[in-house]
Amino acid sequence: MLVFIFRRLLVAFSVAITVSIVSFMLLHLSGDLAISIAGPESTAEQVEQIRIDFGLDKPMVYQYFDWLWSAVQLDFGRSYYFQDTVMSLISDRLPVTLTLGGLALALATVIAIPLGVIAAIKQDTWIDRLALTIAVIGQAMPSFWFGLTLIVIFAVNLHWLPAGGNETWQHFVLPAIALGYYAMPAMMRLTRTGMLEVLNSDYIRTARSKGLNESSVIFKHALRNAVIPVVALAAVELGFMLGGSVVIESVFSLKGLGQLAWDAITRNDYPVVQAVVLIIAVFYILLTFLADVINAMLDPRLRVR
Amino acid sequence: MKRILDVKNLQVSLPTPNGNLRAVRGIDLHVNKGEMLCIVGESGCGKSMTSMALMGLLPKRAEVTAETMYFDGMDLLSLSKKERNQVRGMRMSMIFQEPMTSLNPSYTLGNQLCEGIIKHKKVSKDEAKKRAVYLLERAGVPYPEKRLDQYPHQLSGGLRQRVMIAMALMCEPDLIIADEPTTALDVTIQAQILRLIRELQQEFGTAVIFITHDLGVVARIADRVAVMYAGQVVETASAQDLFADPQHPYTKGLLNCIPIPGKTLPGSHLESIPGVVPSLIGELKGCAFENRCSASIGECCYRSPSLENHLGSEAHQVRCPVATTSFQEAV
Repeated sequence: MLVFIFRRLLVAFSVAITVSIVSFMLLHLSGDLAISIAGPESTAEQVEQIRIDFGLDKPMVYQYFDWLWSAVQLDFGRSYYFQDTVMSLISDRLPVTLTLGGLALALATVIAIPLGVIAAIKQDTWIDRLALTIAVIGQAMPSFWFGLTLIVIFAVNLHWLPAGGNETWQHFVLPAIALGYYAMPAMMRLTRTGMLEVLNSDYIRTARSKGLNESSVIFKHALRNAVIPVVALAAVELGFMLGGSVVIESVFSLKGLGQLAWDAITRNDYPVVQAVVLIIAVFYILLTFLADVINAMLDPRLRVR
Repeated sequence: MKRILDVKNLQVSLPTPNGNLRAVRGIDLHVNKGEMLCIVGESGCGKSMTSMALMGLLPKRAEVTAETMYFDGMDLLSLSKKERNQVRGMRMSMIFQEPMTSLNPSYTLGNQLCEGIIKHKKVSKDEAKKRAVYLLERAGVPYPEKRLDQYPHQLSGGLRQRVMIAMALMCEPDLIIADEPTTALDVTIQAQILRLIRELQQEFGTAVIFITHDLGVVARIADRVAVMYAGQVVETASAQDLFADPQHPYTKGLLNCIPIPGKTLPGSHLESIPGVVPSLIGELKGCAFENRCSASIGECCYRSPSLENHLGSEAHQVRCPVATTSFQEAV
C-alpha cells in the first residue's frame, strides 16, 4: 500500500509539473506581454523598460523557473487589474469556492448513494422510476434557472434564507443545493448501475448462500464494490465544481474562484488567470490522487498497479 | 436410512416475454444422510434451477412450488425468511461452478470464510479463524494461516475452489450442494477436487448433492444417481445399477456417448444423441424425450410417462413406458 501511494504521488507530481509548464505558457502564448502591460499609448522605450523590469528579456527557461520558484512560495505576482497581489485575491476567494464545492459534493453524495442503492434493489418499481425521474430533472434543468427558482421560493417568498452573498453559513445553503443537485444525478446513476451489476455477480450469490442477512449482503458485499467508480466520479465532479461553478457563483453573488477567473479572463489579467488555472489543476491532481487511494483501500486488486 | 432431504413434486417456473419457462417440472428427490447423490443432465435440463430452489437462492420472480420440501423434518417452504437464512449457510451450504468469480474480490479469504460461522454459531473471531485454518488445511490449501490475510485474486482457480469447499464446510452442514464444482477447472485439478470432495464427504459424513453433466465424474463419486431431462427426473438408481443396467433411452444414449479406452476404436464414430432439447416454455405434450428417442412408441407422443419402479424396486425408477412395459411383457 505504501509503495502504491508513493508511486501515485510520483505520478501526481509529474502531472503537476506538466500543468505548471502549460499554465506558464498560457501567459506567453497571448502575445508580447511587455506591449500589453505597457498599453496602447506607450513608446518603444517604455515597452523596453517594462520588458527589463518584469524580467521578460531573460530566456524562457529562466523565466519559467523564476516563476515556478515564486509560485511554490505562493507568490503569483500582482494582478494587472485589481490593485492587489494575486495571492491575496485568491486567498479571499478560495475558501468560498471550497466551502461551496465541499457542501455541494457532500449533499450530492449523501443523496446519490442511498438513492442509487434503493433504486437498484427496487429495480423496475415505482421507487426506481421516481429516482430516475429525479435524476433526469437534475440533468435537464439548467443550474442557473434552478438557482433562481430557489431564490424566488426560499429567499424572496419565504424569507428563510438569504438570496446572495457569502457572509454566514446560511448564505451557502441555497447555492450548495443548486450545485449539489447538478452533481447528484450522474453519481446516483452510476451507483445504481454498479449495484445492479454487482448484485447479479457470483460472489453475491455466494454471500447469500452463506445465509447472511440481506443488509450484510447489500452493504458489506455489494456496496463496497459498486461504489468504486462513484469515488472517481465524485473526485472529478468536485474538481469541476471548484473551477466551473461560475454560473452558481454569479446567480448567488458569491465571491468565489469561478467569478474571479471570469473577471480575470475578460480583462486579460494573465497573472490571475495563470494562478487560478494552476491552483484548480493542483486541486484536481490532489483529488484524483485521493480517489485513487480510497479506491485502492476499497479494492485490493487496484493496489498492485 | 434417514433422509436428510425429501422433495416431492418440485416445480420452478420463470416468467419470460415468451411465456412461462417451466424449468423444473415436478421433481421427486431425496438424499439420505451422508450420501452422495449425483444429478446428471445436459445444459438447460433444470439441474442448477433445482439446486438453487433447494437453497432458496432463486430470484423473487421465480415461482417455486412443491408438495413437500422437507429438510431434516423441517418444511423449508413454510420457514420465514430469517429461519431460511439460518438453515442456509449453517445446515446446508453450496459450492459453485465458477471459483474465479465466486469470492468477493474486496475482502480477505479469512473474512469471507469466517463471517458465516460467526453469524450462525456465535463463535469468537479466533475460534472461527482456527476452524478456517483447519479446514483450509484439510482442503489441501498450502500455508493456510497465511491465506486468511490474502485476497481472492492472489490465488489460482483450483485453490479458490478449495477455499470454497472449506467455506462450505465451516458450519458443519448436513447437506452440501455442489453445482458443477469442477467444470471450470483444468482436468488434472478436476480429479484432485473430486477426490477431495469425496474424501471430505466421507470423513465428515456430510450428504452431498453433486450436480454435473459428466457421467465420468458420476462413475467416480456417486452413491446414487438421478438423471434429469427437460426439467424431470427420467431415471434414478444406485450408481452401480445405473451403469450396469440403464433403462431409460436417454440414460443409455448418454452412456453411449462416452468413449471407453481400449474399447472404442481410434477414429471410429462416437455416438451422439440426435436432435435438441425441447423448449421448456409452456406445456409439453407426451414424453419430453420422444423427438430424440429411437425406442418411442405411439403413446409416447401424447401421454406423459410417470416415474415407475423398475423390477419392483423403489431404488431404481424409470420414467419410460417402453422400458417398463418390455419388462412386463417379459414376465
